[in-house]
Amino acid sequence: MVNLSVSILVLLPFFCGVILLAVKGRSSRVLLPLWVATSVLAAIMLIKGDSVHAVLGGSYGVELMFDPSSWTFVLMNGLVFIGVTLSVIKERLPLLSCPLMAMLHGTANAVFISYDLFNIFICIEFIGILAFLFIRLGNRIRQIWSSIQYLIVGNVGMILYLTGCFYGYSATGSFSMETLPAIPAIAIYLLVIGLSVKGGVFLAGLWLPEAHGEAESAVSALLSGVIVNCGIAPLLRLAELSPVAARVVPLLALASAIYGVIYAMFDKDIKKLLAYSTISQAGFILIVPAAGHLYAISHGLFKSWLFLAAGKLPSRSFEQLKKEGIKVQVWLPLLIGALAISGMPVLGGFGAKSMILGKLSGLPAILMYMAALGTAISFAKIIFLPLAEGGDLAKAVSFSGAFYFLSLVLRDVIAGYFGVAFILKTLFIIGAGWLIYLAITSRRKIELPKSVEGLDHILGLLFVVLLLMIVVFGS
Amino acid sequence: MFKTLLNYLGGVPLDVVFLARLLLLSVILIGLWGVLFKKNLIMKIIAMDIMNTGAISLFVLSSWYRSKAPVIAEKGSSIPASDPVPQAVILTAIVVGFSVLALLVVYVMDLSRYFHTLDTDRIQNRWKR
Repeated sequence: MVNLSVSILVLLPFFCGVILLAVKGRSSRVLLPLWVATSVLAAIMLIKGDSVHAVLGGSYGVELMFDPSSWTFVLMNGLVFIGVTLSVIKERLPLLSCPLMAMLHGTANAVFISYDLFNIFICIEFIGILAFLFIRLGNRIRQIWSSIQYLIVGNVGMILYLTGCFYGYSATGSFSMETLPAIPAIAIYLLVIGLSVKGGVFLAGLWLPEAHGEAESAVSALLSGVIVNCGIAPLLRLAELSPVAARVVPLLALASAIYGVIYAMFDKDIKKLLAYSTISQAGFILIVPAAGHLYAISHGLFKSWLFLAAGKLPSRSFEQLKKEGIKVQVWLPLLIGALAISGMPVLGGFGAKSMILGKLSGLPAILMYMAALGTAISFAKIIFLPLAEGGDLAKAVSFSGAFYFLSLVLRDVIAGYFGVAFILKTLFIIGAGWLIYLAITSRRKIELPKSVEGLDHILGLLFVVLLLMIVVFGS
Repeated sequence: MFKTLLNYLGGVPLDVVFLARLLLLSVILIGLWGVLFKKNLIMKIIAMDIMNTGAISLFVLSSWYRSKAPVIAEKGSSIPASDPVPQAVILTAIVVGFSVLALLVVYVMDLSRYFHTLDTDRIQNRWKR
């Protein structure tokens, strides 16, 4: 089982990537069976529901963990790639994109199934390089700058992670995640900060709006759907296994959820809005580590769909969109995606959100409800965009749209969490959000300071967070 | 007396490995300073590489904790040898670090062709509306 899984999940995508690179393949169609194989395998394993711990290559080898959490992430990876591929299936893609997609898919799978710190380090560094090449795929000068900024911040984060690995190894003599409870607190802080850079979590992840907002839409869909989760998945494991991380991560998650949502509420650019909401959704995923993977799959699906739909808009600025209106074929997917992310029942976001919020109590619960309200307010901007004349409803139905819609509905039906109280609560949150939008935020223009997102500031904040962790939680 | 004081400064025995570890941590901190306060992109990248070197050398140092001898002892022999695992894994990290560095330098070159500057503040000021 282990060998078969590793071949399908990691080796086959890499093999295809190398072949495509050699033949200069530009059609993503050939890769579709690969994504389907990943998804089917993950679905079968999720239904079987057992967890297997394997070590490749004897002692000190590569440790892998196949449990429901890792299979959920693998399933998300497969589904997001199917969706993105279906939406670009007729296009002739830029030269490097197909091989990069295949390799990204394989590496992301490898991150989700690995169970030792060093292996995760290597895979995430590789993801960083692939993401760098992806962000600058459009070849615009601003994209080159965002990708350089991303790589510098990400690499500094990974150096801190490596130092954390070192402290862990010298304390326990092993890189396995099983030894996490025994490694010193300072090592955990370093690991958490390194991973939160890649995961787009509060302060360390502020490179995200620039990179996700500037990249091509299909790339942003992959970035927000898959690459962010490559930082989040190991962070969830860390928070589950180590008591120190279990105290740190929820706090970071809270800050992330609130910060992202505040900026999303007031941004005037639709892609930046989606990028800020990714920061806030990372908070939702991380707040309850044991259930995070269940939220991650919903988020991956609706966020990549929203990015793909936003890419078809004639303009990115809300002011212009309000003036001109949008055609129905773009409006429909944006509407469904926005409803899903706000937590409307039967659309994928509901089951996940109520599962997370139902497990919280006290102050964190109140703050997360505020963040959910903020999400509803910020996505009301998309929901209340006017319709333009001359749209064609038949064009709204596409393979990728139908695929995303079905998987989101299926996601909610399987999660089943349809208590009447939760449905009422969610509808209340969404309604209140829309009212607040119509009454207040749509009429006021508020500029939030964005100077924090310069390269130097992001790097500085990385260390501020690290020092804060050491001061607040002690060693 | 001076020697014992030095040996137990703050309860930590001062040996070569400990001193070397301090030295390498300060290398990481020097790199950090460069990454944070140098405005030139190339200097930032070099500083990042210094940080990386510090982290990698920490691993190399950690394999010494029993002895410097390589692991070629016969089966059952009790001669202390160095720990092969950190040396083995860190090779991969060196390669990855190097490739990131190469990629960055190439694209910074590309960037400088558009902007004729490598100053991060001046580049970022271009898109402030």
